[in-house]
Amino acid sequence: MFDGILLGLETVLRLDSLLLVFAGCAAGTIIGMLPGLGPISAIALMIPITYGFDPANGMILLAGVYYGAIFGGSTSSILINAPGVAGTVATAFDGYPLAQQGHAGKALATAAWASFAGGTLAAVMLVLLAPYMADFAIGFQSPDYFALMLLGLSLVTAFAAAGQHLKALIMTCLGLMLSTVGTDLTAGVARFTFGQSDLIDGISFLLLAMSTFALSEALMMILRGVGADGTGSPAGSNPSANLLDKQSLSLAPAELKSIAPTISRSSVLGFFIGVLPGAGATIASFLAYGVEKNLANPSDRKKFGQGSLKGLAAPESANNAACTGSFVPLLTLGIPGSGTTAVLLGALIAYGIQPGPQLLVDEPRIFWSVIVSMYFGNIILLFLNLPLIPYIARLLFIPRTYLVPIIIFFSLTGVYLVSFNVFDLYLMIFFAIIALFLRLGDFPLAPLLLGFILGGMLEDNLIRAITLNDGQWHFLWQRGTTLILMLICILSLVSPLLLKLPTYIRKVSRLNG
Amino acid sequence: MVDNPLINNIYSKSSSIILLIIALGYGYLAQQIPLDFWSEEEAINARSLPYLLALTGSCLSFALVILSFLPRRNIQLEQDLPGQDQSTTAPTHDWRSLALILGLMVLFAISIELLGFLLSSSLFLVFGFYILGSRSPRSIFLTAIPLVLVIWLLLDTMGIYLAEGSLFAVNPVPPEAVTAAVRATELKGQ
Repeated sequence: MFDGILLGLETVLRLDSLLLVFAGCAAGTIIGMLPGLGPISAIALMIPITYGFDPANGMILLAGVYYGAIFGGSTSSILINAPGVAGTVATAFDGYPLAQQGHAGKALATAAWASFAGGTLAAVMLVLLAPYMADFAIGFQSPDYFALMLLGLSLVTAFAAAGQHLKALIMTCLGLMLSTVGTDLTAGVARFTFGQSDLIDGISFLLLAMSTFALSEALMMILRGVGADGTGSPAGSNPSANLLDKQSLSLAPAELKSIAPTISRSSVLGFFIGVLPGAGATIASFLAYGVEKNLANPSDRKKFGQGSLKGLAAPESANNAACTGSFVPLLTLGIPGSGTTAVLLGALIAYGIQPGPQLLVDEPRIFWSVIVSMYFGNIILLFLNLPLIPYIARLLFIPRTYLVPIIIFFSLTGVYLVSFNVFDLYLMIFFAIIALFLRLGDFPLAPLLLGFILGGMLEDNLIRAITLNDGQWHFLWQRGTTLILMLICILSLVSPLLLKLPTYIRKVSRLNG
Repeated sequence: MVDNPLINNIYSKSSSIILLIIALGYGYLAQQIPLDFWSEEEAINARSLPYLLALTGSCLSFALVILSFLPRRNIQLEQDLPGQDQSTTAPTHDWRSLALILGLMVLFAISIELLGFLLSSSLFLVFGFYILGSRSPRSIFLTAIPLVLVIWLLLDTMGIYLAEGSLFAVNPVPPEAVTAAVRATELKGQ
């Protein structure tokens, strides 16, 4: 492990790597701050830039973009009550009231310290846990992988928002369908290409990520209206950024002491929720907020929702810790636990790296440099971004009449510059329109991306497992690991129904009674 | 997501029907996948996963269609969260601007190889800003043109060559040739 950390330090402590960590954090903060654009859009927009990079440097930059975007999302939650990312919705509960009371600086400082502590504690846990998990997973065979991928997909739907389980399942299925476009792995025949030679290699994951997230989000902004003032900011929103110059961005020792236990608890909770495929930063932040509210004494509990520092620190440390935690299944099993890590997995594949337990053996430099870069990324976010926030926050007031066409332009050119193929642009527009209508119908799009990225690997492992078992399906229950994974998969699929059962029985008995 | 639950329900209903059609269409197209004689006899072939997905997708979409058409006594709003405005007023959608921007995107795709990156990008941004409501020519041009120039210079520095528009080229290279050259380079790289 120490050799690995030293290898990671050797890579990250080079000037170019440190600059990339800084650039990733800064770009992530800026993009994540823009309401509507989350880490998936931020990473998708940055991937074309990284294509010429060394894979380790590319991943370092993208990891920086990820936690930078979460940090940026907190800033817009606190300053204008418009969370840039779903994971920072809970941040607005107490962050925005604090800003309205004239404590925007204090709220931003609390968010920064909580994010730093959450991210750092989670990075330590990642170092301790990841190698053991990779060692365990190294014995996995194709049936186990097939079951693991099914589990990853089913957990995403199990953790979907209330009432969205069926929609999430359909989206996963649609993503898997899209992954079958192109040349088949076994017989080499073209599937669903409609005679188009441009589809023979399949659909590019960057194209799909960009069109379903960045581009469709920009189209959604247009559909909702960019606002009379062109800013799209909530009416009457307090331009707290103006106050920031005069305010101190620091916390008193007593305040730090009071939030320290909250940060520690929420970081551990956030990390382990992040490790679970499908859970992620949003669930972690809401859960941490709820736990801290329940643990608080009655006088402190009353302050939750009114501008409590604990209420702000809990979701902030939890969401950053969850981001780091989500790297555990990505780096050790090659299974993305969320839409964001699915995009990162796609980037790894695009760099020619085979993700999975072998990553630690075959590409230790990538494995360790990504982990070590997280420490430095958190330090950079704290000590460089915090003083720059008053200036970066002005981006929130860029008129959307300018911002939206620029986002569309970057999305289109980002894809075009990778393939130099106009067909990709038409395909992108088509997918963006479909994604827009799916958003209007309240369909979650992250499962679609996850299904698309895992689809190829899922089919590959299914074919291998069936071929090795003479065309029989008994591989699903022959190996202990496969059987356990399949059982958890089934349980996660039926759990939303089982959880609803008592409420349903109560309703029926009330109607009868 | 749309704030109004009634309108949201309409989108949900129509999307679920469209998804059912997609799943059924996918299943039909899966039957058209060409198979060798020996592949047909194998336990798993190029049609296996598509069949499985078509069946799953159709069942799930059908369930969603049924559920979305079931009468609901109360349309559930999302759980109230502190600090979140739960508006139930009908949202006004700017379909006109959306259609114009989509048209502009198609024109950008058509023009990028014809006019070249610099001109097509500048025109896209200028018209994009105008469609969305900017009316100051100074701001429009001073934002669009320097931005495109900076990106072009950055790409040039990174060694990414952007061919000039075929309209202005002395010996125009057909776009198909560029695509074929890129594909050949990719294959060589593999």
